[in-house]
Amino acid sequence: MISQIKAEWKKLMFMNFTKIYLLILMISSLLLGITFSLTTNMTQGRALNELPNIDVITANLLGIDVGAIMLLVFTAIIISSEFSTKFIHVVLAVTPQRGKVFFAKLAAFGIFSTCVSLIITSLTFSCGQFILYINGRDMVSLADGNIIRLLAGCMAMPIFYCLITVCFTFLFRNSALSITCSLGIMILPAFISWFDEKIQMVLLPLLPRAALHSLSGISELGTESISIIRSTISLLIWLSTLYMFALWNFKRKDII
Amino acid sequence: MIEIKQLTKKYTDKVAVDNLTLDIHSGVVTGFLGPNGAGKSTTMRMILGLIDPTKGYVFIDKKPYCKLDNPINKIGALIDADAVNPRFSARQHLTFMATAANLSKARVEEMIFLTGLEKAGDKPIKEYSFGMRQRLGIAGALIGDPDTIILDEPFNGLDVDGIKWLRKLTMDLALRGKAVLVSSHLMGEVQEIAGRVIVLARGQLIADMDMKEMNQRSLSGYVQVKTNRAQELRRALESKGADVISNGKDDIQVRNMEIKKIGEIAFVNNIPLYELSKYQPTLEQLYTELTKGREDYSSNNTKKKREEK
Repeated sequence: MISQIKAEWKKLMFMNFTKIYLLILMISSLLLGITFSLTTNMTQGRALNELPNIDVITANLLGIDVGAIMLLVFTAIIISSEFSTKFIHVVLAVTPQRGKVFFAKLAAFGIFSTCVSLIITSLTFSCGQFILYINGRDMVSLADGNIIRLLAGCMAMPIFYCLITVCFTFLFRNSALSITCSLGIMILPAFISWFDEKIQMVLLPLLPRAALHSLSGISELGTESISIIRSTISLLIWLSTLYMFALWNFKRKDII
Repeated sequence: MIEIKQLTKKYTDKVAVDNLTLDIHSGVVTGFLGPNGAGKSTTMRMILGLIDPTKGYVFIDKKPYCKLDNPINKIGALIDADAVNPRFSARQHLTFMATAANLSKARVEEMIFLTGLEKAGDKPIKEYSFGMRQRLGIAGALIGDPDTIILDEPFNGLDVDGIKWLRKLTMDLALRGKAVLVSSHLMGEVQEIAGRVIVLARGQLIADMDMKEMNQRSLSGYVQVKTNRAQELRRALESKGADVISNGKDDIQVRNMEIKKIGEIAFVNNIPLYELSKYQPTLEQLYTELTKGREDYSSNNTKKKREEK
């Protein structure tokens, strides 16, 4: 299994496209983080110097959302291209156990997304600290448990959406459909929030956004706030359910 | 050895492979022939586990492909030269395969050298000609030094040097005791290298025999005889079971009888012979004979369908 993961990792790193895309992803996350933090008077109705320090950092960390979206698009394009170019024939000729191929892919993208997430979280956080500094305000301390929780929760988001995109792409073998589904899950809470509060109370805590926000400690009290343990279990259930569906479909369908 | 038993693949609208039973032997190049849609590629994909059979099985050393410990050491296959990531270079493509199969990096360089891709080894595959992609596919098929090599249409896109190289390579592999299965539409190429021929049509096995046997069985093979007593010889040969066709006043074509026996019958009857020569059909003629009326896609069929409309 280690050799399959190594091979998948090499495959990702071989391509110049990966390096260029990553660079664009990081710059976009950083720039949009800065944009979000400098436009709070329009988005939150309060100027930057009226916001608490933690909110300035949180506004910057919104850049991670952009990184997560770009990462899931990248994941879908790379994996679906293996099916469209028929490169999957070569992959399965070397490793005919489809479960092994799928798991190796998931592991490689798990490691990859963790690295990407760590970089963009560090970048956007550092940028938030820098904005606080140049405005003559105190920077937030990493010794603060709430900040660590916020960063850990924000870091989990790109990893989670990347992994579910791996599952969706193995399920559909199509980038457009996979991106639509992953984005759909990401923005589903926005649609649910149009409904009655009772419906929101039932549905929102079941969605990954509630789990991710709860992990970060930024969940809206009442509708989506759940405990850290419940959040972790919720994300694992989402991931394992999609994993099983995708694996079943990948094993069942012929590779033509 | 590859053992195929009652292999069947049914789709909703057609049967791609129908109850196919055969073995692929070591130490020989086996030509895998058939018209378009005969089921050759489907069979090859079922050997590799890419397609699940509806019925029957393929065993490699008594196990299905997906249960082999080191499958790339058992079977190396070129199914589709375009099945590559066009952004990779040949070296990266082969390095991926070597890494996944736990092979040494030296093996990658050996394969690049063997297939003559040294100069293009670091170029993106999207810049390769089809012939170069074929060479890369062959490198990938051989990287694990497998016991069985499956090549689907490997001559396509190769230049004259490439064809000569591949011809020699496949024969060398067979001499080293490996089983080589080559599907091709270039009958001349298969005739040059194959010791055995398997012919499929509409998913069914039409012929599975060595080349010598195939030549003997063919209706296209005959013995050309020239004599000034053609009618007399004809009667004598027909009385011994030969099929004889007159081909002019002094010429006859004899089928279903060995050349030696024809000579002996002429000798016993004191008939002088001016010519006694065996006419060997080309593989193309044999193939046409065997698959006549069994093509799924032919220009005649298209014409007929147009006329029906």
